[in-house]
Amino acid sequence: MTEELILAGCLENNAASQDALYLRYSPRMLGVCYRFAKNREDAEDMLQEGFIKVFSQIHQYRNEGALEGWIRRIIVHTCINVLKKNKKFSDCVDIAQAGGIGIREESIPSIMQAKEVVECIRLLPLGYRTVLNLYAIEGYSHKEIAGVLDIEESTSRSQYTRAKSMLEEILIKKKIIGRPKEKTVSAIAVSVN
Amino acid sequence: MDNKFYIDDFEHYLKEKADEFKMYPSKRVWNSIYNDMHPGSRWPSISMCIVLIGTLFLVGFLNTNTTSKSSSSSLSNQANSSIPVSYTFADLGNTHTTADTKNILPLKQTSASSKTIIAGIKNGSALISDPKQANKNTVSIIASANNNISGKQQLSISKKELNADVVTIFPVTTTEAANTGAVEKTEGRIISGDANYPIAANYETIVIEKNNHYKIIADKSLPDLQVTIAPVNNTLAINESRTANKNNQLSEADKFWIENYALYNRPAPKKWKGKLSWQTYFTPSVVYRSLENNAANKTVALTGIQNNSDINKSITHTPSFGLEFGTGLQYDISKRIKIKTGLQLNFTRYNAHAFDNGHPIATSLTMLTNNGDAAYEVSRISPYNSTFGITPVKLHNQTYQVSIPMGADYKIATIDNLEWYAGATIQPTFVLGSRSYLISTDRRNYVKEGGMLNRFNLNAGFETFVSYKTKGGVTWQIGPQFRRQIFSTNSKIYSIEEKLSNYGLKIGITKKL
Repeated sequence: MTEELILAGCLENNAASQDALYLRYSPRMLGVCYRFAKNREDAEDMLQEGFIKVFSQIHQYRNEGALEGWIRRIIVHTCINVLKKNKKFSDCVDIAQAGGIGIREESIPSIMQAKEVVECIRLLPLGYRTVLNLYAIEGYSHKEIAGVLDIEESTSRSQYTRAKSMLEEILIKKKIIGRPKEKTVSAIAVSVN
Repeated sequence: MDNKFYIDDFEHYLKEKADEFKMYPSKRVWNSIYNDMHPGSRWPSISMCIVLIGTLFLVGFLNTNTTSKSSSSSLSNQANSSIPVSYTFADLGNTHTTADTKNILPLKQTSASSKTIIAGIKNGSALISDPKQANKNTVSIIASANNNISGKQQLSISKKELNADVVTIFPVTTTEAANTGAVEKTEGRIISGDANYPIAANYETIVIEKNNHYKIIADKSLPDLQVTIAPVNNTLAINESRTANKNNQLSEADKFWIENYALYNRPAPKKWKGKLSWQTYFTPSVVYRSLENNAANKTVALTGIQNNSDINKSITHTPSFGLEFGTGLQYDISKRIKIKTGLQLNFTRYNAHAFDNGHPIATSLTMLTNNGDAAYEVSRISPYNSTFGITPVKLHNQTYQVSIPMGADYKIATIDNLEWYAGATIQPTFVLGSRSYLISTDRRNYVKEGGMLNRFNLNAGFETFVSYKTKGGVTWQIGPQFRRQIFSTNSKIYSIEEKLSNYGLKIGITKKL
């Protein structure tokens, strides 16, 4: 079934078309949710809520840009809303709280590449992880992040810097990436800005 | 190592890896989405749930052990057409070791109609190959434990042989596979075959203990698969090895063991985890009664006297208090619907205003024949008069009940941590005891009578409540409840039918299990 047919069916609230759309995009979107969520079950809840929004608002899709991008945007917003609603995000967004968290090396499962990287991202404190997900992976600007998370833009920048630094440490410890030959804090700060 | 490279574009690397990552949601997610998008088709299932709720819940609760204990041979016979290939593993010698993967032994095909690969647990390796499988991208393997061999075994599948970009391996419950071909993808392991970031190990290893059924799905057709069966490496030896190599110089064998340990030696995920919750509640209530004279307009056999006036008006009853206490389990069948059952105790009471004359007088009760088409009187004595006498007294008509409520709650709305529900239960009830004052034929006396109690009854409960989820994971709920008795408190041979109604305020606490 082509994407046009699926879209047309979804506009008519056709269950088969919705199923086809879901089958096509749900694995990748669950991967997105999993990066934000505490566990798989929460991720599935986010996915469910997100797809209900997708099907409910499909008439707002204007064929401007890829459908996957539009769906992904809704899913990401759903994830953020769920985190904010559950107050999990605001509980953990404080840098001071997150700064002292140690990373247990044995808690990092050695799974293959993409999953391994995602699991490493998920080891970050929730506040760090959310900012990193939005900035580095979803392509949000710090201004946009500040808007959706109700935080200061400078907070978003500093959280991202720390998140990136922490994630690098994890990935190096895990031997997923090599240690940079000349790595300084200022270099990271420059790259962020 | 190949993956030891300096990444100067960190964001690009993260985005690329994160975008590659996929997970397969469970069926529950789509079912819930479907129910939300197409609510019309949901109500029949709710009705069915309410009717069959007890049975379903018990079956679901007791059937938590999903591991099939059937033998490998019976599984082979039961396999259906959803599983593509069928073999019996050749009897392998014990001389091969884990590393001895070059010793590939042929498999013996025993039945053309049977479609399952049976791999016996013995040391060695085997090549699984079938021309019919050439265009397929799914293979099922049953790793069958040999009772003579103790301890865990590991089953290894050569990734080199798979030649696919994305391969998922996941365990399948043997019963499900045999009966429906359904698969469970929640434990699926996705193997990325990206050339830039090659797979670290050459084999995908699965630790197995008894009869385990695995399904392998690839995005391309699967060629011949090399399957190796061997005992798991000695745990103690590997632990020592890890201690000695604190600078992260792990061998490939150690990595295998770590991966296996992290992924498969953890507690098996329980299907009901996160969906099952325990609830306890109590409900103070006000108890009313409604009376109906089933002997109205019937001729009484002996005296011919019958009082056809409205019985509810000819005597004075006042409501009194009732109390309900219950505990039970709830199961989330979707985002909005919970089914529930449990055990509940009820105390009911209402008052009859009378006078105690201190000495019994003769009176009678109107009874009905078994088929209800004729009335007759039985003689009794009683000191209580309903209209006049020496000492005013309140006679308490009360019951003690135990019941099994079975029902469902439907979530109407959610605002932050507050949720609004409506629910209904049907409650098979056993009346443990009672104190009954029955009304005489002429409505002038109350007769204390215990022998006419209807022990088995049925109640229906309706409620709506608001629940609040606390940060500690406990949910409090409060809301009005109406409980109505379906059958009469007393035996149907007593002509006055009494049904109780409770109007209460239910307060409960729920915790996820």
